[in-house]
Amino acid sequence: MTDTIKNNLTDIGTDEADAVNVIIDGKPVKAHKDELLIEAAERHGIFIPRFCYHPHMDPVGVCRMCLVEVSGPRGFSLQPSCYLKVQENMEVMTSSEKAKRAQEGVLELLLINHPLDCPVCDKGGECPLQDQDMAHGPGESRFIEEKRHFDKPIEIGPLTYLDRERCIQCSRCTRFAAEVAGDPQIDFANRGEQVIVAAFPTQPFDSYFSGNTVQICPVGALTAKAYRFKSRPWDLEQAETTCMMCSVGCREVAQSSAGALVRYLGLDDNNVNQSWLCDKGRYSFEALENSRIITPLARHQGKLEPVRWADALADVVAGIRAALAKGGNEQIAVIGGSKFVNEDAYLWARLAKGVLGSTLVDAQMGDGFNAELALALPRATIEETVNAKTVVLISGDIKEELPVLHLRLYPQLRKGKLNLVEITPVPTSLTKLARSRIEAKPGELFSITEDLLDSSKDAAGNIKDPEELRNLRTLLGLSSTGSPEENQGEGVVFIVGRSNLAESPVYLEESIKLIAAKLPKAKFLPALRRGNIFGALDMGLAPNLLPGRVNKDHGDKIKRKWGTLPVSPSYETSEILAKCAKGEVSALILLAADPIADFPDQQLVQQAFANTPFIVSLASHEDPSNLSADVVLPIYHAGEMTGTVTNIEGRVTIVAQKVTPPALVRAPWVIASDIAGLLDEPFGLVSVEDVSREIADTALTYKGISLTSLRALQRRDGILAPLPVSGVSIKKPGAPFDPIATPGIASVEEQGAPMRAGFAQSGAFSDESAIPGESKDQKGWGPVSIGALSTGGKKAKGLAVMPEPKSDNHSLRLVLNRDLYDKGTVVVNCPTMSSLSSPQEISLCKADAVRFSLIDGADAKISVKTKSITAKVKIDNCLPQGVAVLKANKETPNIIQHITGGQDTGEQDDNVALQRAELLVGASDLVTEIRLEALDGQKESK
Amino acid sequence: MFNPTESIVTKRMEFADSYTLERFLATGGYEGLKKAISMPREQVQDEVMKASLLGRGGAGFPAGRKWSMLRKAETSYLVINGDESEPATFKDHLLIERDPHQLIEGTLIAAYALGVTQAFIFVRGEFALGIERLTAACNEAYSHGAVGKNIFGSDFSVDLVVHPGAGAYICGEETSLIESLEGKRGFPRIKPPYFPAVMGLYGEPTVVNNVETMSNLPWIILNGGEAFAALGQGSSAGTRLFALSGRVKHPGWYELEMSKTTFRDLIYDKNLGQGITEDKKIKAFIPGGVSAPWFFEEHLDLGLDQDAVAKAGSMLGSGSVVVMDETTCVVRAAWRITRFFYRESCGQCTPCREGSGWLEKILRRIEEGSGRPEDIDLLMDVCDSIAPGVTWPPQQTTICVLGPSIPSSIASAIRRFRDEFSEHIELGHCPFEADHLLVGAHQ
Repeated sequence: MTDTIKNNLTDIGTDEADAVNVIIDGKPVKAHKDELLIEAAERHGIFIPRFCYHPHMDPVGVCRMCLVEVSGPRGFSLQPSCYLKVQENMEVMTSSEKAKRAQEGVLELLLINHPLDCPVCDKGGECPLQDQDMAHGPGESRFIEEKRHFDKPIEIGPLTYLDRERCIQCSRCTRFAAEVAGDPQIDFANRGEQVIVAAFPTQPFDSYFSGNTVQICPVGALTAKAYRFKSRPWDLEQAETTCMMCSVGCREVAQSSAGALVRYLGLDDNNVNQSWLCDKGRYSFEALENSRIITPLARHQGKLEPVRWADALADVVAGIRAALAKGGNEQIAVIGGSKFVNEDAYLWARLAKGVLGSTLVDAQMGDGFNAELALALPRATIEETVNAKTVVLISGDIKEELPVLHLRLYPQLRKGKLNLVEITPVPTSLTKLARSRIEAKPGELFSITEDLLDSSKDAAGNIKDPEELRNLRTLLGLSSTGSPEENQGEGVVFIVGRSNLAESPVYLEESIKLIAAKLPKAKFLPALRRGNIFGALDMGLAPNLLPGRVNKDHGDKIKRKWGTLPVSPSYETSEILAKCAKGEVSALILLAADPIADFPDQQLVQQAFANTPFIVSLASHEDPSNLSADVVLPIYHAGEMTGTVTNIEGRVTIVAQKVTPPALVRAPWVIASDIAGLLDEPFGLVSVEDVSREIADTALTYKGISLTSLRALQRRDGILAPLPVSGVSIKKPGAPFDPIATPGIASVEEQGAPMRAGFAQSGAFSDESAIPGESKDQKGWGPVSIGALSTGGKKAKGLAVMPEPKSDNHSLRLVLNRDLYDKGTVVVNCPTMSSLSSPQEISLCKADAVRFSLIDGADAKISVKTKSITAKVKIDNCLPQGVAVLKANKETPNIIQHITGGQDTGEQDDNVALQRAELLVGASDLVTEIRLEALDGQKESK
Repeated sequence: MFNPTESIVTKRMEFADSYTLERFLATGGYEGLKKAISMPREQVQDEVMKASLLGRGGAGFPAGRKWSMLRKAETSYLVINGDESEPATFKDHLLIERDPHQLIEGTLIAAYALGVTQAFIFVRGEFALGIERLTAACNEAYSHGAVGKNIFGSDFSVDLVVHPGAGAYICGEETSLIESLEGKRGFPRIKPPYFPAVMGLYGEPTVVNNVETMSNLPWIILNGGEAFAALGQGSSAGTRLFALSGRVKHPGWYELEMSKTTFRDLIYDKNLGQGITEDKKIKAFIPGGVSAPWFFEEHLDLGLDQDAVAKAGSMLGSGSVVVMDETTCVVRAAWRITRFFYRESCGQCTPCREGSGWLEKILRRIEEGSGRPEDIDLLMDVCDSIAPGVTWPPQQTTICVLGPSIPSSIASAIRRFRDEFSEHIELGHCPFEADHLLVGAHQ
């Protein structure tokens, strides 16, 4: 810990104006107005023991561990410091005889019924009850009666066990479930000494966030199936890293035991995930061991066989040379890269664009929207979003796609501190807390946005009440008079992303441009979902873009480094695949991408794979795409790699290696470097730090941000790119984090017992001018202005044809969206999670079901023109009429037999693959109209 | 010397049909309400203030003062606490079952004085007959025009809901009663805010009053606050309903003028308790419910006066007096009381949840003959963890006052009869015969 951080602990931003003077243990200190006593004391180095208190939940004062003596009108009395707010001239004694007696008493009482099974308890060694009893307890128990007994352990949810005998009824888990996650699936039952935490009889605790209750449980009552009995805290080694399962970029520690990754724990970084993780991220470490590709593979006589690296790379280079020999910039396509760290992405961008000169480079998989637009928008941070006046959701369900962002939004919405407006085709997990919901069925988004932003219109979608519409426009910060002085969207954050993969992104893109033009002060959070997608786009793995959020008109610096820059126009994934399908592309390189599983238009991918002569796949796990490739190059997975990543808000953090990858597996940047060398254009970079430094040198928005500078900072929440104007001091008081929920190993090894106050306080870093920053106006970062955006090949589909296609009476419009547990590589390869992926269902409202003579639970045939799949019908009356919902990536697709392959089509059942909803979607269609019919014998009897 | 006075809340008890609207109207029913709504609200409040009516629920907070603390707000509520669940307390039970209309009339007078338009009567769930009669009375009162819109043709409207509790003693604590009324678990709310009058039901200002307190209001309005204050003495004005039980010849309820009557009168007077069963010697008595520290022979001549009892180190509480004679085992008595609290602790905060169970187990062990000499100090020390210092009035480490109520009986028993505890431990069994029980059957 640096001195700066230490000093900041005692002196974080208490403005004189609203400071409250308090005397704690005889020491006069300044507290914030309305600060909780326990927090004020902690900031000043006085740790008060606690169990139920958690900095990111409302205090309840039930465990009584934090009792201290507080002066009042009738002298000193014992008060819970976690509940009491500081008051001027309050005098506090945290370790007077009376306070210590009370704390000892509470600990002795907590322990009378707590089993002494620490030697076999997962929590033993990192247990707040153990630690605080050592520090504050009476030393021995006088309890000789029989302890209370319950059945144990209870499988309270699919990922969690509950041991009720160990429970100390602190209510952290129940409060988290209800107040933070919004999944009140667990609560107390019974009374007095028999109080137990219980799930409802018919509803298991299957919240996406159940793992957080395990992390914040101050005893070993809640344990994770995936970690249970795997290791002891003192055997763990850990590294601070960033989760790459989605673009929120949660900070976490990766912990390993005997060389194997065994646990992820959320880190409290204040600005991003506040110590929370979603279960998919938390338990994703299990995937590291399963279905790994551990050696290079090459196809010989139709079969993929292990080969030496040199041979595999020689094959790749031969393929590339053959493609280059055909001439032009459209012979080699490079798709993917969102699973890469920035260093990998940068070097692949340099290889693809600088060396190969390709214009067919895109990291998105057809499930996002125009990258230039996404990067050009005035970006909101997560903090700005949760503290905004109004958040407008024009995207998929945040809980399913960016789960931890949901955890940040939900408590604010629950407390009424945030207005939510939804413009989505179907209700989301936050709908019940939304101030207003506008139904935008597939194809309607743009016209609704137009009406909403035009004050002269007296209806917008289903909002027809003039009063409601007026209120709504006020919430959006829309000038009612058209006067430019009014706030024009100030304090409004739009979360924009694809709510429907079966609808063209053009509706969303045009809506965003309109919003940005009408509300110049509004900010945006682009809801692109894939791991390090923002890093990949920032590094130039996107059409028209170069590293640092610039296009080639501003690429001088990059040109100097790279030598050449590709020519325009360039193409995005759907266009690239279309070219492949037509046989116009000679080589396709997949950067840890699995288009067969991930791209919405299945037929297009099949044709593309079948008609591309040479396919190379960089992959960590076996998946349908790489098993269809000609050469497969094994790469690192999360936990094994080192580098930086960029999250949804542009925050750059460190990804750290915790375990050693299998021997023949390589980092993607090394592979790019090797290929460049074999093509006689060596990069001359020998370490990931070298690459990182080159990024900091060439990518404008990453000026001053490199692995080395991030490491020197010791800042948990990384740095927001681009850096602010030099000299601006970012002085943000770190909200106290919870030392007793801090990953145990840190508290034991670095801190001793956790009774000592705050270590490694996040946000404690005071002055970013220490980093070599460039004094530059924010506007100067990129050329990408929204108005000047080229829509490239999509121009024809622009505003001119926006009027939405009408649906006929015999069809429904398809909404293809996501749920958290799909059949992605990680979920499928995690034993505890794989069973959570629910089967495909077609959801529609009762009225539509009746119209098509469908009954709940029956099989239906869903068809688009000649393509069809079958799925079970689920009646969901929350859905609007005329719309049906299918989930993306719900069945494992077949391995596609492609042109150079022969027999290796895998052993999967054709019928399973046929049920994929992606078969119905056409990448070039504006919307997807489906027809439904009951399969024989299952029609509703009339 | 006991002087019979006018009955205020029990005047209809002599009639078998005291709970019917006909009998109520024939005996001056709803006259108080009619008079009240003809008066300005302030004057009604003033009369109650003048009456110096103390809350009859246990804490004895002056009702008039409680009303004056009600925060001004658009919506406020009146909640009547009828969750009488403590062992040996059965006064509200009587008033609900035998004179429900009087309770409703009092409630409406209070609602009028406070300007609330929605009142609730929260009745202990086990009072099946009481709930039936009160609900019927409420419906009758609606039909009669005494509740609902434009009461007796005036501008005053109020709705009344009878809400049966779900079977938890803790819901007699006003904040957990409010939680329960809101449909949540009956967990007491943490303070501050200290008073529901600031933030109560649904977060709005709420007055919570006891059933007996309300039942006094019709008489106070008809006869004037001063007439009420003339009864009793000092702050303990009016009459009070006492529930006498335990080892007395004539247990039951008695409405007595406060202060003027002594504990000796209540227990020994020929018109009241008529003395100890089998004319044994008195050993101890509980002056105000099982939460109260015990009194002994030397306290018999204290008046039934809130201040006097408080000064002597206990409380008049809920007005239930339990008598123990020389054949009563104090260990068993303390155990039975502690077992009650152990079973009724809500489980929210640690000292009460864990401490009540531990105390109960130690007491039972001593009573069953497996006590250890150090258990006596251990009992006091565990009490100290719940109520630091084991003082009266108690300090507390808990959220509500149920916790610090537990040590009252244990500390009283140990401080006065430590030798009896030692005797249990030395003998290895209880020196008393098993059929002399305080309450209920031996389990």
